[in-house]
Amino acid sequence: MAGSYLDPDLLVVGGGPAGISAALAASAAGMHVLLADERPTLGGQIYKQPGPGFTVTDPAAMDRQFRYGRSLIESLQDTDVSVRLRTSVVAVEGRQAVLVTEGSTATTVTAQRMVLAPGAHDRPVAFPGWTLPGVITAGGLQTLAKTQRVLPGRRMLFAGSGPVALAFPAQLGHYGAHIVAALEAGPAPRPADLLGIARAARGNTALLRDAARYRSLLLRHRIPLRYGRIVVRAEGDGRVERVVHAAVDADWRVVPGTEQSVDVDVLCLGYGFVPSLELMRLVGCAFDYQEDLGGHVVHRDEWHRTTVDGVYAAGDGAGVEGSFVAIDEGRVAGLAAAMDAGAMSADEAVAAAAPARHRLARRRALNVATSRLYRVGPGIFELSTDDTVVCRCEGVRGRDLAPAIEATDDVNVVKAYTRAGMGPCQGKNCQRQVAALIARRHGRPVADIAPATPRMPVRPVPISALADHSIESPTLFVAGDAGSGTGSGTGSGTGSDTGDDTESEGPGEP
Amino acid sequence: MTVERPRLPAGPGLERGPVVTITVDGRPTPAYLGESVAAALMADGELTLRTTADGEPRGLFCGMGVCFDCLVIVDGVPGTRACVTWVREGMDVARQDGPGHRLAGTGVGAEGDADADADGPDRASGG
Repeated sequence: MAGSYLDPDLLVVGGGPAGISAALAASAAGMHVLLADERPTLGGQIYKQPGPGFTVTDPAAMDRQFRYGRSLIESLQDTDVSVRLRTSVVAVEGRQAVLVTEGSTATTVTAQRMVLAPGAHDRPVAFPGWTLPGVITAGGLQTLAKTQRVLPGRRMLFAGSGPVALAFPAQLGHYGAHIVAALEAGPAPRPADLLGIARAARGNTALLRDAARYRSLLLRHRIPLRYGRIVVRAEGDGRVERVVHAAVDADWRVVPGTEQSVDVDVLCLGYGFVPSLELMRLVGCAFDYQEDLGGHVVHRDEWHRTTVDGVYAAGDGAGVEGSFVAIDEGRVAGLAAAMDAGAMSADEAVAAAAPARHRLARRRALNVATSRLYRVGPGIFELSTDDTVVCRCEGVRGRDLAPAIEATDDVNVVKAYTRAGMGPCQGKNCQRQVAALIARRHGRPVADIAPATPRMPVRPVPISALADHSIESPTLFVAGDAGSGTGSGTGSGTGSDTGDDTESEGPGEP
Repeated sequence: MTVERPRLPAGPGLERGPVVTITVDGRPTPAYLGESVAAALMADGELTLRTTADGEPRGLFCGMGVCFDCLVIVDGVPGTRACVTWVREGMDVARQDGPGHRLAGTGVGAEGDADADADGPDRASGG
């Protein structure tokens, strides 16, 4: 195999649909590809496979997302792509990336090019009571149901928006959850919306068929779908027991006098997803702002090149548009990397990318047709009060933030004053809310409020992964060659050990 | 409040792993290989996985390793994410109070000083 684990032609970060697809395209062009993913199995969040320990006895009986994921993962196994699971990329600088495999020390990899396909996580929405046990994101609850076959709680309320507001309650109902209602923040479709969707149906029939199937599942499980309502607070002693929801206007602002209370023991939140930006920010990519794609979205050209030479971005991590788009974007990014590396000619790359581009254009036509229905309203970020914990990690409440926000419009300064965003999640759950509070106080569009400056490591790692305890040199931390030297030296040995270990638990097993 | 049926049938085409016994707050608790620590505790009827330094209860939130709200003590290592740590035979799990004390029991803290625990990275290597 050309190249080596530590010196790949292409490093792909993320083993979901975009990352796998990019790795396949680049590998087929002859590049040596290293793919790293944090999870113990490939497939990302969308194609998540049952946890290691479960045995799939009949793949044909599993759901479609499982089978899509399985076939994508299997096509990767026919290549010489090196896969490292349970491996986080915690820093990127220039051509170098620092990888930490669970239970091992850090490894520094020098990659000529990188495709960043880190995926997305649930859009956090802060409201009174959102920290109570039993308030769980749609992604979290789906993982429990799909990969662990566990469903906590008897009576659930779903609140969210967009395609997931149909899909998730339907899937959870299918698994046997008792869902008292599914709340969609957006408006009910009008005939004009349906006409627009029908016009954009070409090439999107699978998606629309899914939507129709989810709608009929909701009916079959008698889950009422209520449009134009959001959760305004969750209440309970030690866990969620009641949820108060209310009608909203077109900007998702609560209409006074419309509050209703419902007793539940689980509240499932699915207000869409936001991209994982930290590596793209760390490496210095430029960003645009599109709330409906997740807020700050990396700027790319038509080949999914970012503004940083040799760095490409694909999938939900580059703007949340779902798994079908991710597969095609990954392919375009992989082909672009191969073309830019000289592994294929521009003509070959253009021809190979054409079908994927065609599908992407059709998908975007559908997204335009549904934009009125699925537009994220600013009112959703106006629910937190003085007493609401905004930063879950550090326990920072609205009243703690207020003086800092009064004094500055800089997220970094608010972070330094209050610790909001300094905890282990690195601001993923509070930064959007802090930005919204700043924007409102200072009368600025939220698009203008830059996220906090990212710091490595972008994932918390044990100090023992970065510092080699077997070296007792007093000059260990002297600036210079200590980091890369010790990192790669110790990492190559332990890394391959762990690699063997994780591969045996991979999805290849029957 | 109890939950009636936290564990679902594995369903057509899928079988659970073998039963293992883990310890939760000192109490032997059955779990299935393939379950996360969070899933095993929630299947046992427990939604509160830790309390914050302010005494607020917290449980599973994101379920995918992003939010760090489901922190528990696993084999003496505090701050371990219950949602991305998989159970194994003999695993000792304690719900966490503040930065690293045991929530239940007789006030026994996590063994040793949490920050100085060099065995930390081994915490989730089973599976």
